[in-house]
Amino acid sequence: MTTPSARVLAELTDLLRDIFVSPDLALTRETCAADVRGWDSMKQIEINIAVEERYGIRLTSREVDAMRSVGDLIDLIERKTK
Amino acid sequence: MTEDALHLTFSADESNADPWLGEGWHHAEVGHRWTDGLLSVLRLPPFNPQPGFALTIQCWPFNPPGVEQMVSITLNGVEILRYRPPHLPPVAVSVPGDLVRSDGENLLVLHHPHAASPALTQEGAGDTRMLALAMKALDFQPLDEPLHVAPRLLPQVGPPDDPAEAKALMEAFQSMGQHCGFGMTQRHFGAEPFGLLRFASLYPEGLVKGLRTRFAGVGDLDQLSFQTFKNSRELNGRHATYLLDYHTFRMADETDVDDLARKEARRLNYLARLFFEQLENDDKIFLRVGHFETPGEALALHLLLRAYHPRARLLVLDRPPDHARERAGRVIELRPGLYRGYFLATADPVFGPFPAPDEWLRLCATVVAYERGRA
Repeated sequence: MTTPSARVLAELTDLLRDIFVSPDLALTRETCAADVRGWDSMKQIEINIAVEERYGIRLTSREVDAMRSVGDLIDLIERKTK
Repeated sequence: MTEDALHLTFSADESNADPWLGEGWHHAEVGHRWTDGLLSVLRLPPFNPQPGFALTIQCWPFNPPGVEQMVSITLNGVEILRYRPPHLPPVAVSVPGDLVRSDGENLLVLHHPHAASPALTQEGAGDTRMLALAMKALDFQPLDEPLHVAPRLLPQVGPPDDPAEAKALMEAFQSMGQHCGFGMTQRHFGAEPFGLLRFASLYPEGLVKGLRTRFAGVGDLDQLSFQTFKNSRELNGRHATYLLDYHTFRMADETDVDDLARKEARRLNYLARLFFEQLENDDKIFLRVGHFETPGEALALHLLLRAYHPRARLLVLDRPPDHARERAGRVIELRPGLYRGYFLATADPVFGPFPAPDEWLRLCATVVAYERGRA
């Protein structure tokens, strides 16, 4: 059975593959911006907007500033979509 | 009826100033209303008693060749400001509370003895009116913390040696877009905060409009355009409402402009939302590099920020005046939460005079250390 975290991770992987135009992109909870070529602040904004639209949530400035890894983003999405 | 505050606009399409106008005004035009003759009068209502007020004026002067407007403003017969009006930025002045009447009208008189006629000063001009100031807006509001009579010099702090500290220091500030130089300096130290104006350039008038309207319509597609500049492949964005120019970091020969426009519209909306969240939470020290003729210009900008949070903080940066070159590298507190820093005129090939990265760091560290000491 797929856990909610694994489902969100899979969805985020699809989302980021589109954004980075990289069909082979693999993410784990520990993945951070430095691990992905081209993941700069401009891309992070694109990701935040895509996440907000995909999950119908709002990420605040403080939440965005505190995010350090894909795992942080997953936790945030899960908390906000409960 | 007494008022707590008053915000007057003078543009024909949104003017609410008419009930307060005395003599010395022409009819309202789109965007402004010209003063007429050598003085113009506003008969303001009584205000509820306060320890102090701020008067903010946004106008631009009629300065044909050989003429420079000088304005003296009196309130109930007492001069509260004498200045050369700048072309775009608003200017604010502290007004002692005991000067403001709560039991009768407050007579505000703008004396502009250098009013001139376009017909007499500009070849081919047929306008015979005597013009001095094109008034755009005037605010009168309570002010709990006036400008210090003698600005306080902050103890100078050296730049941090630890790169992580330098990065955190840079992240504590949010640029208000005089140009992209501070955004690039943040990048130099590894800081990548999100900022609507971080890689942007806009004039004071656009900034003021944006702060007053929460950058309404900043994501409107029909206001966005993109162009390249000489010797560059990068597409630069422009938002027409705010005359906001900014970097997209997208190359013209690799980019579908329609697709870019759609993405930028969403991005600008998103960043505007974050900008005001940071302002409303007092999460950042806002920073603007520019030419600030008077502390009143910095105060006017600070008051705009404080409409969003009572402790909003602002650092304005400028080169020191010629008579006070020793201020370079120093920061003064103009009033609580409002700082003015001075930098050495390092010649940057792109920006012209501009602080070097370590100088940025020193100025920012000085403000942050001072704030920590106050907390």
